[in-house]
Amino acid sequence: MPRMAKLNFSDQNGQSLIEMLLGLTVGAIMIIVAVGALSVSLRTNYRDNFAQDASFMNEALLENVISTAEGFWGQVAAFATGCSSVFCGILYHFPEISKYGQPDFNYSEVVYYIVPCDIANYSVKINGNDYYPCFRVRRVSRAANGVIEAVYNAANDDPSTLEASIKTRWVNGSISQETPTLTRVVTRKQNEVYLQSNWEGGPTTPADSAYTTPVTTFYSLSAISYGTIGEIKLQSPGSGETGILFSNAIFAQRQVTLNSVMWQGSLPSGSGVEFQIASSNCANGATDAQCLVGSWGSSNCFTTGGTNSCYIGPAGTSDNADTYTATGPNIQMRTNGAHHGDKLYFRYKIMLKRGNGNNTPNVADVILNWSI
Amino acid sequence: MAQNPLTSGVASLLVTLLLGGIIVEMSLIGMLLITKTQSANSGIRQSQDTLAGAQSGLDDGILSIIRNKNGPYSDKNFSIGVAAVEVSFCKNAYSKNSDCDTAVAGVYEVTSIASASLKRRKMVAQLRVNATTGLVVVESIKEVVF
Repeated sequence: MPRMAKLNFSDQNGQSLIEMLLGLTVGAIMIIVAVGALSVSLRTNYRDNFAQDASFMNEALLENVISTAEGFWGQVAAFATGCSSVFCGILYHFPEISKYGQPDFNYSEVVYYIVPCDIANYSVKINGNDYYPCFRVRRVSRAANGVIEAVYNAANDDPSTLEASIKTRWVNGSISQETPTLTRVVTRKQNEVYLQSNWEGGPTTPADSAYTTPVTTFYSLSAISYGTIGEIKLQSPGSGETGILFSNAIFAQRQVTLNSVMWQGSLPSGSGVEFQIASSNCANGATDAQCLVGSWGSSNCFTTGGTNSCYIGPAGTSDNADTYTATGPNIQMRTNGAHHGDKLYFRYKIMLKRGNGNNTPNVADVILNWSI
Repeated sequence: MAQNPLTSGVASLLVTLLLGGIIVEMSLIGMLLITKTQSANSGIRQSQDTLAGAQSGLDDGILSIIRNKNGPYSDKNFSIGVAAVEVSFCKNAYSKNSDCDTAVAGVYEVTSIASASLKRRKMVAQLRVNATTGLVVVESIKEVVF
């Protein structure tokens, strides 16, 4: 340690050139490394500001899509036609500008137009930067147990569920960047019911009426007694083993997807209550856009290439064995959404089957549940 | 005065090292702050993913009840985006202190928990279900901190 003892910090003699160079080199390396690291961090941080703005916008716009779906399901479901495999841009018209001078994403009456995702004239400007939101809407299928399938299977399509995704692009300098994809499942969870609990008004045949609110009439029947208020049942044994009643057309007021059919009443041993459902976008059961071709019927069914809106069961046929059947009252029978999705009008056909000892089922209510 | 080659320049080297150390220190602090910010931004995105997942679970659970008011309901698990979602149900009950501990006829509860990376978010919906018609009305949807 004798050398250390000789250190004298008050020595004003300066240093040799080699020592100065060594000191400057060490200092320069430190400064270069520090400046480099800071520069990288600052650039990353600058990019992250874009990403943050884009992420918040993603959330707001996806919420807007969900709100639109809850009010106008068909408007969002339409995206699933052209924007399921690729992302599409949506041209917005934001009628409201927030107090910060930016688009008000919370304004509900946004007008959408589907456009290619990468065109430059539909950007949303935030803090002076242009962002290009891109959407994808996919149809969703469910397994038999109701769980969403990871890979879409058209045979198990659920018309009341969609998967909506959004990602946003922006250009930072000459580099195009985008957010990770934000994805959400949306369902038609707003539901309504149509309940008919009285048939005493009798048949309206041949008038082909459509009703919005529950009524006491129906279209036609055979071998069913409807005279008692609040129930229908089979007529006396001599009239036949099966009674059939066709409802009038039920007008849902907007395109809806039928969820289930259910009945209330009693089901004696051996008897049965079965349903078939017909649906159409025309009050007269026609199947063309002008409501000129086809009618309500039980043959030449639209589901098999025909022109009539037929009473069909879960398999999509009018076969007497293809019916919605429950083991008793108060059990919802889930209807096939592929057959009764996005329809305006519904009719039900109820079949009462005699049981042991000539027992007849009594039906007090018929209830249709649909998602709007 | 004669210069001692062993001691000259020592002060300068120390000052250089000291200043360099301070600069490096400040740089590290700056980088740490920026990294924290970036981490927060990443956290925001993960949080958005889990929120979207939890909302997806609620939507899915509510639709399940609309389609079948009687149950029984088994827990559901599915993935949406990067989030894993668990959905559970209470029938004629809701959760006050523990799962489904408070019985109320006609009240159903759907609980959805989504997780992505280290983020987890939980949402709960209370529904009123008409026992006769099966009409489902959403009474409340809230996020629960857990």
